[in-house]
Amino acid sequence: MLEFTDKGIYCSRGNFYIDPWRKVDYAVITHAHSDHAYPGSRSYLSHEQSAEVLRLRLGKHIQLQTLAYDQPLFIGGVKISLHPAGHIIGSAQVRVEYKEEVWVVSGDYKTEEDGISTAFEAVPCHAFITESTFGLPIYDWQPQHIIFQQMNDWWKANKEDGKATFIGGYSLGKAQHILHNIDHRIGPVYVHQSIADTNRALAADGAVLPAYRTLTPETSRRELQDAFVLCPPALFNSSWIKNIEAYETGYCSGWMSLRNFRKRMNVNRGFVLSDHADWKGLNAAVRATGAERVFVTHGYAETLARSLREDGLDAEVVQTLYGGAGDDDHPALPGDTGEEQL
Amino acid sequence: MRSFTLLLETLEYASAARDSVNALKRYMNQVDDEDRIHAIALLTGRKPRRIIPAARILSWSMDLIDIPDWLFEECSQVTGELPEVLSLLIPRRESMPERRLSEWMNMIYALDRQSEEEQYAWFMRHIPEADPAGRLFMLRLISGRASLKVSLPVVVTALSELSGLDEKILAKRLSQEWTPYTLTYAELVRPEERSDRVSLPYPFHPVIVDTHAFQSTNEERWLLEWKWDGLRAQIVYREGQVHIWSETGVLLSNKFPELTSMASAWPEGTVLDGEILAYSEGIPLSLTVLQARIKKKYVTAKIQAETPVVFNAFDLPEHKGQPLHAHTLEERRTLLETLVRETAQPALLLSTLVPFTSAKDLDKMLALSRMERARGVLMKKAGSGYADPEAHWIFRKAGTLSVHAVLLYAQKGTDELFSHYTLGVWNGKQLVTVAKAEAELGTEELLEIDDFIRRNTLEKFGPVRTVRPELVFEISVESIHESRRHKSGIVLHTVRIIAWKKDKKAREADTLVSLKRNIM
Ligand SMILES: [Zn+2]
Ligand SMILES: [Zn+2]
Repeated sequence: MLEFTDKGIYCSRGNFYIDPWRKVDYAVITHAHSDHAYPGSRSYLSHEQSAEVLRLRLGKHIQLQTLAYDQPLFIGGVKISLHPAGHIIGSAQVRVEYKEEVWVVSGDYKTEEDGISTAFEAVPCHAFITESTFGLPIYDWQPQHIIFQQMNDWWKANKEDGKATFIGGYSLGKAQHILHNIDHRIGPVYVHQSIADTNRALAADGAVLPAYRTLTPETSRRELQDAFVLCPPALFNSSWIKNIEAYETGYCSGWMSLRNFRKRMNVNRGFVLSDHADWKGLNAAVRATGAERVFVTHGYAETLARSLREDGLDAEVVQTLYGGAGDDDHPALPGDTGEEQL
Repeated sequence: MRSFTLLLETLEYASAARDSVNALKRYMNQVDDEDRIHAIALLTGRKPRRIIPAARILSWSMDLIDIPDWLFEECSQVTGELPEVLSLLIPRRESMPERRLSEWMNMIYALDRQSEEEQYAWFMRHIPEADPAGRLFMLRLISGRASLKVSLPVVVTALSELSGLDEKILAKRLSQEWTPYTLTYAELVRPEERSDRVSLPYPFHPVIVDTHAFQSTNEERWLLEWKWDGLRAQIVYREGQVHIWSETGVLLSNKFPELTSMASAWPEGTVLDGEILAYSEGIPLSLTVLQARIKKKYVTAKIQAETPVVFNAFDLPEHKGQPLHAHTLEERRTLLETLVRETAQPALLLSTLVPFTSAKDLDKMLALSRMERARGVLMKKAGSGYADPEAHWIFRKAGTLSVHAVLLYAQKGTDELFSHYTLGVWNGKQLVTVAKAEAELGTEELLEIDDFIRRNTLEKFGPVRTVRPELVFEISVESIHESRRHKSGIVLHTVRIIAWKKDKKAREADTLVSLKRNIM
């Protein structure tokens, strides 16, 4: 029912694409990360909580239709519906049904509840197209409450030492995930302008975020002394930050479980916190769909596919252009499969 | 143990010594004396010898890890060393008891006396109890791969701030033979004793770096001296004992047995200030050579022969039991000259002192620095007392080198412009990375380069772009040193990117061979 073309995942019966990486007539978008939401298509369909963010990123005047989770839409006799992917606010899996055959495109997803995006739901299907960003058994996340405990302790310790706390994270996804879970009783929480813009767009679509302050060029370095600052990691290389008397830097990503990546990031602390499923999560999600056919893409595709085949599933690799810059769990590592690099 | 592995991570990535000290103090305040002494032992390089060979650790771990061989192989390719991949793959046992560091260390030391079967049983039972960081630590420890040492001054400062004891006294106590089973934490920080004092050096006479043009005043007489690429130290000889102290408060006596035995022949109550130099056939070698020797755990006769050292003495803070603070540099110098002449020891050199008559003398010496393999020139006031903070010695660095290098990788600054560059020089037909720095260029040029980078990106790795190697930059470098840790075999100190050489083609950039000619 779905084909893998050089423009993206395509449904010829309904004449629409899912997460295309070229301009098309009709694009169904799983979520607003730039490797999934490509600009220039004639019309878009997304979850209602992705609307403003998509407009922020793709342009105010895009032609956009939205759906709630589980709300069906028929195009050319094909039934389309969106289901929570748990990746970021408004992220969705796309379910496509025609004549009792069901396909599901996962987009990016995580199986652990993060408290801010609608929790992942397994959608029964015949064919499941899954991501595999962290498709190796070395990726084994600890529960997020443990990670946030570490992050709170780190902030407290920095505060004791009179140091500002800077945490790098992608403006859409990781930023809200952290903002929601960090303990705001410890001190003031600031976000970088780019994150504030994203937050405003998400709030316009109904996301409820805790109160925060926005970092501006006028923010005095003094007032940051006991603060927790969410910012894009590029800020760590800036002369602006180097003028702050005392600060610590941290970075959150699934890659932080690897020492070679951890070293390369050149930050004081690494937190293993991801918006993608780990190995166990990926395997559990695939099995929960009950799918007979599995298409693996976007990450350690070969590895996950082979492992699923050895467990008796019909699994194969498909090439897509997802991954690459777009969300901060994506930057490719040496030894990665080639498809993650642009 | 979680607090200890967190401490290790903090120490590994701390950007300043102060942060390391704070982290260590925070840890010490969280744990009891037994954990404290174990932590101090590990951080000062006292660890159990290799207990279980890596091959055995691998095969035992595979009894815990239930994945096919090919998948294990793929995991190993992504991670670094063996203990890392094992620490990530061994399944976690839920509701793990949190054990203290000392409990783990007691078990690990006990392993050494156990049969292989007992060791296996321990491994299967206890390794899965720890979290990944804890497992990594233990797997490295039992396979003899752990290198946990932090710089001794960090440990000493933290202990001193916690206990109120003088740093030097702690440094001396820590440098003696002990294990966590022969010394308690309370004993380590026991109150000061008379014997502690005998070993102590004087506060080092302060040195500041000056980059401004020299303003000569007629009231002061100055003396000029080469500053070599050595390690400043005081050798203290009192009551028949020799202690060699670095400026950072590290006790180096056992690293230089030849200097220790040399000093035993000095008159009772002698303290010399000077530089330890790696020295071969009359030529001073670079500090990196000396540091490589210091890093060796045991100083064998072979190492002493391979890297001979001398002590280039330039001051005498104590003579025949008399502190000479109040004496002038010239007076101390006369006594020092007599001492060096009378002892007549080949490894005890006397610094060359040149009277300063005009700014020309200084310029001449600076110009000669590179050829003489000196790092620059020290200026000292002839009439100053020892360690007089008002009369600091002035260090003037030799001129910088200019190197032309090709842009290879770029990363953004905050203004969203690519302004952090990694540069390389030619090694045959290949470019090897030698320097990384933020460009000190105007916005116009940065914009132009940024545009070039965006249009000539070959690859992206996270925030880093690989750029078509075409642009040439002039960088200024203070000095070039040998380095085994760098792929190029050299490391450049104090790199600044100062100009974009638009007229130069990539092939006109410098070569590794030409850079190596300037190694100190
Ligand atoms: Zn994503
Ligand atoms: Zn993605």
